[in-house]
Amino acid sequence: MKAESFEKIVDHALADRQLQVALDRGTTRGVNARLLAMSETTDAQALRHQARLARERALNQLPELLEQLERNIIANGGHVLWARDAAELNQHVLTICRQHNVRRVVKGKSMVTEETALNHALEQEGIDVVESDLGEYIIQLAGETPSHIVFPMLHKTKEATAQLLHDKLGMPLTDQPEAMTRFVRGVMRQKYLQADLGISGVNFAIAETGTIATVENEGNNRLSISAPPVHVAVMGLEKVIATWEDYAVLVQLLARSATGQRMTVYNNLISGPRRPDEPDGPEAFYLIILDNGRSRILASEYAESLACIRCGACLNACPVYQNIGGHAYGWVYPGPIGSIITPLLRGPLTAPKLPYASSLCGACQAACPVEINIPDMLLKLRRDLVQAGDPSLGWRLGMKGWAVAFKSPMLYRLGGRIAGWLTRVLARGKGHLRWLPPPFNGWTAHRDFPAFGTPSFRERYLRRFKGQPHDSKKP
Amino acid sequence: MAKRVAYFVTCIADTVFPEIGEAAFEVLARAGVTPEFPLGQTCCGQPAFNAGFTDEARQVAEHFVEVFAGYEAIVTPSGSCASMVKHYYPALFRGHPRQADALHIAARTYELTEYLVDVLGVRDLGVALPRPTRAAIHDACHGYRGLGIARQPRLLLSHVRNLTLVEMVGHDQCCGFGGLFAIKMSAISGAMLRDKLAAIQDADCDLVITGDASCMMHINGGLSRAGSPKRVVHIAQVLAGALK
Amino acid sequence: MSAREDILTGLRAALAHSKPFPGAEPAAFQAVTRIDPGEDLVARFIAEVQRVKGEVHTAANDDEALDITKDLLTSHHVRRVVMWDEAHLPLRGVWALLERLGIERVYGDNASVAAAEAGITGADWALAATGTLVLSSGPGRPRMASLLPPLHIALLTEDRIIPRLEDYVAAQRAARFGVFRRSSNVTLITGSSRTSDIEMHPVFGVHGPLALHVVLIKNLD
Repeated sequence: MKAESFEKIVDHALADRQLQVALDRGTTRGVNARLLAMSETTDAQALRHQARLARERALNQLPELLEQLERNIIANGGHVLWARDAAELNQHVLTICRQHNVRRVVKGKSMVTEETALNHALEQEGIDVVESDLGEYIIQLAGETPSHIVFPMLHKTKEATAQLLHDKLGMPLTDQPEAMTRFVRGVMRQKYLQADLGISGVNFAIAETGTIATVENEGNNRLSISAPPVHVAVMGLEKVIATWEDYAVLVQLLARSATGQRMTVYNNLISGPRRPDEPDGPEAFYLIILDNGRSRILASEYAESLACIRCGACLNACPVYQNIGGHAYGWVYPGPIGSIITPLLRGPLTAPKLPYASSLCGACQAACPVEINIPDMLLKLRRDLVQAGDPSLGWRLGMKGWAVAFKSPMLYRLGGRIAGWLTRVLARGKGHLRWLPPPFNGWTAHRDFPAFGTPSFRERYLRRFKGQPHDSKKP
Repeated sequence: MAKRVAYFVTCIADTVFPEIGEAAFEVLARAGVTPEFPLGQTCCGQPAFNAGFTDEARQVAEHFVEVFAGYEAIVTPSGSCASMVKHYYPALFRGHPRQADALHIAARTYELTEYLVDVLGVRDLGVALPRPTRAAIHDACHGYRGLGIARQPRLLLSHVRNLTLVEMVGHDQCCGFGGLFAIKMSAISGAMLRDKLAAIQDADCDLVITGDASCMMHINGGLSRAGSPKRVVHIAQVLAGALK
Repeated sequence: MSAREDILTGLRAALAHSKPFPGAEPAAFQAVTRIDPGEDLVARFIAEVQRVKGEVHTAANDDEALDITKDLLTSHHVRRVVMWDEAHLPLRGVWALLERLGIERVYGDNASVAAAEAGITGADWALAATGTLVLSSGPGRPRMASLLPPLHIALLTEDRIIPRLEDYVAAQRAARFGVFRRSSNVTLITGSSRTSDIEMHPVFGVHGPLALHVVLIKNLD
């Protein structure tokens, strides 16, 4: 992701009136829903802390929990596969598809499969893949990528959606979301019943019983994993948790933080394939555990980023996301959490702008149900980029010069006097400037800059307290 | 023995808005405290730190630690500078020869309203505004979320006569300054500023009060560009009775 | 080395020197949802189900419950039903009712079951605080009964109502989580299927059932 393209994408996004309306509507609703739902709990701050500790304990014992998870799934008749990277995960799925003569796949929402570009890998082998989540399906039809973790088509209008369904599937044109939804329901029924294999993500994997938990509102996830004869669940290795008590707090905070619900409509708990005496359900169950850089993150000072439960609250709360939307972040994970895990998973130099696309306001951290200190990690990523030599020579020299000046009281004062004089000259008595030279012209493109007051506070203090023993330190 | 309290004016309230530097000093005097002003002070190092230049930030922070070592309290009219010292100096000085001094300072640095309300127990500074004024507070991010400063400014302002406080929708929404963010990501910063200006426009107030001069500078820059009659002032100016 | 060995070795190495989160001991667990002391759980359950656009019909006894079920089936023009075996329902006589109404019970593969207009199930438990039904799969308890048909009728006795999810977890822990060994799929159902994907406009009835009707039967003590 080039530096230039980020600025261009941002400019496009800011100028896109429809996107701005959609972002405003989606994020405002998201924030208000979360605030209301969290205020209705027994103690929001205590629960966030409880949820945080649940994630920390899991990460502290990750290998043991993954092994326990695996043992229990196998004991229940399931299979567990491990994938070091995206290619291995895709390969596992293809192998399973071959083994089971799969031609048609139906999918519940999974960010991990976006990360590995699984759909593309399947389509290359002539396997038909359908996204069953309404928003994801529409995005798939449009050939786009999701712009939000929870609301993948946040950026689309209902008019555009209706046109798309009309053009691709022959739906009669309508502006009613209900009618569009009914139409897609009808289309999707057949897909569930004809699919040879269903793929889902994993919201939480409870080690102590080998149970995969998914959350959803539409019923598409349940249908994707119950109707076809094979269920493949895909998860990042950080999703495992130790106990059912942890599940209880995490799944409820996930719902409240993501959509403001107390519980999502369906919480599906899958413990392996159908039992021999069960009348329906898949005959084969596979869990694929993906690393793809997560173990490296666990070893780093960014381990905390693995606590994320993918609720999307930080996106809704972030004034940057609110203005630029999800596509500007360039990859699978948008928003504040995306600004961190994209460089961590893909390498910092693949996304050098993302850590800087933040005013460090902390709204993300305040919104996060597991108290992730995103601003702290953004600062560390910036430090990493500087140490990797990323900033231009101009910036690096400028900062060195700044440090030299600002650690010397004399140079600091001299610099202040010169800068102050310059601003007053450029302000021409008006008290503010409408233009600054580069690299500061970005400021004056959008706002005025003040003429410095004179004399400095230090001067005023000296004049007032001249001769009085107020400070024993050397000037 | 009396506590030695130091005043950290901050580079922005020293060189850009010296009237704020004076106002905050005056407020402390009204509260019965005349702090020492270490003449060699410069900056806390935040601009470099936020840009990822930790070495350069540390060089400037080392000077800060040298200047302010040994004080029992350091008071500053800036939530973002106080937050920098309290939250980031410990990590910045880990393993450093002056680590002990840095930790000492970090534990004793206060934002102005925090110091007045929580340490001195001050509520009413005996201030009156020259005419009836409706004001909304802009809760500057680092003070609000970093240091939990929300109750203190409201408490102090509630005792100011001729002042009616109104809560603004989006009072805690970032103004878009973010230090060098305003220049490096100026388009996004400008968009965030526009949202803040819209919130101010919609609020039933003549004035906006905030605790960080950098936010004040940023928002006033937008208000003046937009030709708005509203303006932002620093809470120290209000509490010092310095508003005309 | 296999991928499994590689990954586990990498994770162990990451944690070898120190845990990333020292001091992360289990906190005292507190429940998420609020329930007032002495709160009427039945009333709370009913209110919560209605909140999520489900409907609750109260029945003083089995006969009333059968009447309500009959009304639901006829008003929805149901001709085919997929259902749990009577042994797993809290009510006798549903099978006989279907026969009287000339409603066919469908079994077998998904394509056959997909024709059903209604699904009839019981529930293991009901969570009052959130209006949630807990259903587990098992012999005579097909998943599809609460999933494929547009109408889901859940038969429930009041004594199955417990306060919260945390209580369900505690009960399963006391039973050593046997349910997750026996049952491949436990589902928590809270209301009718829904989405807000199109311009954040809530639409009820997407892929799962369009309507959830709970028939809540008083226990005779």
